[in-house]
Amino acid sequence: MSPDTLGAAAAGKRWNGPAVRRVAAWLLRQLAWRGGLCLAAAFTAYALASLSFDPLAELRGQQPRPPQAVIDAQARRLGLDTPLPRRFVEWLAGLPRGDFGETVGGRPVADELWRRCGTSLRLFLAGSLLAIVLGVSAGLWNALRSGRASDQFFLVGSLVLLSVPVFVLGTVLKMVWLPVNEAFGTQLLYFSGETTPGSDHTGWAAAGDRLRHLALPTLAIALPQAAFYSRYQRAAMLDVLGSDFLRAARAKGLRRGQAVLRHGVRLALMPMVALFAFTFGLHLTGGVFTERIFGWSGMGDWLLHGIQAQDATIVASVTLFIAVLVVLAGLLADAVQVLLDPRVRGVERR
Amino acid sequence: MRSDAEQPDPEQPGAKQTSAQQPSTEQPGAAESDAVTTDAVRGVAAGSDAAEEPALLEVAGLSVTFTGDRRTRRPDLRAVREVNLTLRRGECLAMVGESGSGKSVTASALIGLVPGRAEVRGSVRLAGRELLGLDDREMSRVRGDRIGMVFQDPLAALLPVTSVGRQIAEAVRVHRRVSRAAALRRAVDLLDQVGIPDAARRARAFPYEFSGGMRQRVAIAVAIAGDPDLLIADEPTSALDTTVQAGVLNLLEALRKDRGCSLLLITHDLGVVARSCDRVAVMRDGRITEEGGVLPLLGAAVPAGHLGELLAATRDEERAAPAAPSAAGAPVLRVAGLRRHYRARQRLGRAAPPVRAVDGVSFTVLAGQSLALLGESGCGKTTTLHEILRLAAPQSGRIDVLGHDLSRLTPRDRRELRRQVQVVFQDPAASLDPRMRVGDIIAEPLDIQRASAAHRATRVEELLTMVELPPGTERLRPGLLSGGQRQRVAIARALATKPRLVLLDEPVSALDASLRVGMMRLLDNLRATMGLSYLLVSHDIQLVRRSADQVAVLYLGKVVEHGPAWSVLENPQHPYTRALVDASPTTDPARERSRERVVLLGDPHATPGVGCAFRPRCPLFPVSDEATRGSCVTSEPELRQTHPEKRQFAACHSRQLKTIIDAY
Amino acid sequence: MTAEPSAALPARAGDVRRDSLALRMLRDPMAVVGALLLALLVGLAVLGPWLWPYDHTTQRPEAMLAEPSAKHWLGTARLGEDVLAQCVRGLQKSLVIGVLVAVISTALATAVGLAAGYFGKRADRALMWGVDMLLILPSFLVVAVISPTLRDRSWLYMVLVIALFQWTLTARVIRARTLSLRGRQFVGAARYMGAGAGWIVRKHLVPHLVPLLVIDCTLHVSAAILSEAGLSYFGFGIQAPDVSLGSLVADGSGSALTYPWVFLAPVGFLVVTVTGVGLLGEALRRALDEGEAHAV
Repeated sequence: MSPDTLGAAAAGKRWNGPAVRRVAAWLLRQLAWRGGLCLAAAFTAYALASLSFDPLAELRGQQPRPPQAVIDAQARRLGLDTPLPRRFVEWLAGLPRGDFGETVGGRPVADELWRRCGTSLRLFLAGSLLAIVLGVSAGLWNALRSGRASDQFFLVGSLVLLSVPVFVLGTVLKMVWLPVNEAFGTQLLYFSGETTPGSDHTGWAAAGDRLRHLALPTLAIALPQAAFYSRYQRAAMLDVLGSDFLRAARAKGLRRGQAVLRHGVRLALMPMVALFAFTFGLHLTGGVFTERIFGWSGMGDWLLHGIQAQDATIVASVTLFIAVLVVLAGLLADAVQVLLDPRVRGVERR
Repeated sequence: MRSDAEQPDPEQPGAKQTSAQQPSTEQPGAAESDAVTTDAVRGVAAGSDAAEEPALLEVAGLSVTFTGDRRTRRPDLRAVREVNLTLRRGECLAMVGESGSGKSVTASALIGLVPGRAEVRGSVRLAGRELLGLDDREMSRVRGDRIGMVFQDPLAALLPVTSVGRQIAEAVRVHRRVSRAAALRRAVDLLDQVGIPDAARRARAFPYEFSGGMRQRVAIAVAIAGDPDLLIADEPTSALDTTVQAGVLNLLEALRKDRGCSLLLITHDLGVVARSCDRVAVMRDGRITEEGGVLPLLGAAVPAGHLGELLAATRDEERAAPAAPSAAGAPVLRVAGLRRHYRARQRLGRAAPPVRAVDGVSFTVLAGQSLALLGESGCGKTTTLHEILRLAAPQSGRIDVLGHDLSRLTPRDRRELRRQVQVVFQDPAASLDPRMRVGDIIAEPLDIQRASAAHRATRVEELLTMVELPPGTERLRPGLLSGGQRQRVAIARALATKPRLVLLDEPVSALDASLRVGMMRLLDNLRATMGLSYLLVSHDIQLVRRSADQVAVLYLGKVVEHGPAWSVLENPQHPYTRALVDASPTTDPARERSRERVVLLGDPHATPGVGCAFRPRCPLFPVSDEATRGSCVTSEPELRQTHPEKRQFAACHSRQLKTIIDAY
Repeated sequence: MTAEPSAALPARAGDVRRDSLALRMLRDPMAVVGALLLALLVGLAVLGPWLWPYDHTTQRPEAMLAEPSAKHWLGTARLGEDVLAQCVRGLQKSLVIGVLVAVISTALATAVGLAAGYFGKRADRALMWGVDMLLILPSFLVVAVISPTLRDRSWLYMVLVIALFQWTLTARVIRARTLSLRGRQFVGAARYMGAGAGWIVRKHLVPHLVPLLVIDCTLHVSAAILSEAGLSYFGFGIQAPDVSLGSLVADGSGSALTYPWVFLAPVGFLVVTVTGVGLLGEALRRALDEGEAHAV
């Protein structure tokens, strides 16, 4: 046994040249497949919106009715005289330049897009992260104590929580928190908006102000998601607890707790990674509702506004944004899975 | 992902470990007299040295009861009842019994890892120290350090996501305060000791990258990492091919001798017991029925008790006269130059050479005859079977069934042939739809062929009688039947359309030994009375010897030897056939321990590409002369008649086969 | 010795599984509570209109936003409508929509999942691409976008559209299950007997999928009720003068802090309905899992 081979064994050099190339090829194929999905989703949304919306209705409905020439001009400006696929392609062509088209009102979509993007991501990622932490720990805890009263309580509790629509949950959270705010005589946590309008906080004070706005909507997003994850995590952990792996780990001399923590949790988390990605899109809808309830001007709020304003460009832009998010989540999940599970990785080192 | 059914918690909260420490110390006499019927036998085995050294392991009155569930109306199950055992240092004790006899549960109870909710009573003492009733912290110091455990299925026991080196290192570090690097060094050392070539590099590999035999060696390395006094091996070779089994058993034997540890070997294979164990304990329905030295018990002319029953089944097979040659008619099945290559699956875009599952196989089954395809897993025997069953043009080569070339079948011919060609699979639990009733299962081929209702009813009744199942069985679902009964259902289904050719895919290897003989006898009788032809796919020498007229031995997709079954198995002319025959153990301890055998090195699936595919494992290759070795490397051997007067053919370059094997 | 004790057949020859499914459910408190809740709600939805003198449109200007009383058990709304009558009307809508969507989307998912899983290859790729795209596209968005078109048509169109965007996850699960079933040996055995795709689907695949379908069907009922409520809440679903639990919640949420009953009553109905369905589904899953364990 030379020290060299041992060193190599310990370091575990995993990624050699061909492996990198293979991973690159895999990544490219994934991007092609998923990029196609994104475009198809955006097109579907654009087409449906264009066919269903009538952006000229408002103009026509004005009293007195504007001259036909004005209406025609507006139609031309919106491109309603060109066929739908061409309009979509033109919109697409602008994307690489950062041009997302114009709203019905004539303002560039891109201006608002990036601001709202940040707002939404901040809220949704904070909520999802909290949900994953809460859901996974509750699921693991309940699996370890399955059959006990606390497990039953959580099971029914998660069912009830999943039965509460997000828009109700937001309002209920406000109702519950109102007495607390009143008791403190001040707005401890805010009910609406991202920051206090007109406040001139800086530094820590500003961050604190943001946090106090963030708390309730984050909770509204996180709770149902956490309930959802906890049920699946519990099932996955129960599977692992019944498996031979843990028995074998304990036969080595690991204590029950050690075996569960070192091996069980890791194995039980693997199926969850796929689930996170899989249901990411579903949970985004909850984010849309939450923004409205708490008066955050994010993408979801904008989408609702776009539908009410009969604006196909906004709808398509938001859809593309959501699609890209879902697809990125899926890609991230695959990558994490490859890291967690060598069987997926399948890089041979014989 | 979907089911979060109530699963019993492995340990808490139901598992009470009630210990009764007293019986063996306070009233040893009572415990002894309780200990079944075998004091006399034990005296013979233990001899005089028993008194000098205290036993390493003393088990007294051990009982395990799985707690039932009132809500689902599952009753309590008494899996182990009042078991007494002793094991001295350096000794090898075998526990044998049929499936469900409680031997595995006993082993789990010894290390305090009974799965599910169970109550464990009695006393387990290791070197005088009571183990039952220890808490998890104390027991975990015993597990792995004093007692090592090898499980039946290494794939289920080794963590899939961690390299084997780190898994072994973990086992080292649980009990010894050593650095990570030192533990890893020790892991490489252990891998080397269990016979993993190139251990330093392989330590970084993951379990899925090892073959079955190598995986079990890794599991053994984990078990001995703590240098235990007692090694418990639960069916360590049952999932392995016979030629690989021998290597693993040899390894366990060598480890026991080198380290002076005791071995508790749990097995259902009496051949394994005859070969390497000192004493044997026989279990049935959770009790030990006989216990004693292997030589006196297994060597007895007429073994008594349950052991006698177990042995009778196996010996019947061993001693059965080779099948009397059946009257042969016209060819029913003719396979010529059959090839089936698979494109290997790509992982992360990496291309791999095609897998040559079947690579030029030819044989003929005559009417009324039985031909066996013999070989280990991965040799292509099952692929061949499925190629025939598809009744479609093969990738390459030609298959004729009842005179029809499969590549030129009209749909109408194919429908007719489906009626004539039927199959019985290995595991009836898998091949019978658990949601259908037995009657519907048996009648399914008739239903597919749209038989009339009246015909269907009488035929089902007939078939049940034919396979010796009582009337009324047709109303049950297969889940309520025993393994043997299920396989009878599968046979009845295969016979429903009155076929002429039946393909049998390991038809008895999922059954307990005592049932095998009955099942094969049934199959033999059916063949004779109904004029069937069998294509029997098996790895089991005894079975082939008993029931086949002809045999074709397959290795890596090629026929390496074929001829009359008795001739090939009594007088193998290919080193691989010889190794297969040698690897099949007999239950006579005296014979088993004295006989010479050809043991193969390495694992199957290592194809060199050109030349003889068997070369890497061939025991003759290293000892052959220069010229022979040259042809082994460069050219693929053809099947040649081994003796001018015999219809036996072997594909080997070595000309002095017989003499070299004997010298070896 | 050689002949096994073939006479030892199990005593209970009857249909052990089906008999005990009902029994197992009865022994599970979750199932009992869920079933009772649902029975109560369905009874209310069916009989409700005969129990009160008001329907959801009756306005009593003399009693606007009145607190719950003997006359109006759950108080009145802004224009003096009886909240209970409104809720029962919404409940009817929710239940009908939930069941219809569940049936349609489960059927669609079964068809697509089976086709993709059984026939594989190109059909599989095409179908799964479609499924993936629908998974990316939030159903809420699509329904909301085309809601102006639906506004003047029957609410049944809304049922169709909700169903169209709800089947995808189930289809994926059914596809995965079909793939694994297709690999099971009894399916291979049937194929070697000469069974065609239709036979195998009918006799071997569907019976094995039934437990999954039943469980998923209950999930779809819950999801559809919540979808409809969400759409109506934002004004994309059921339109005035008709009401739905979602639109009632929307009307009430503005005054949730001042006149809580206007908000809490429809919320209560919504949550209890969905929880009831959820409890029943959960209990069904447990009972079927146990049945599975017994069968094998």
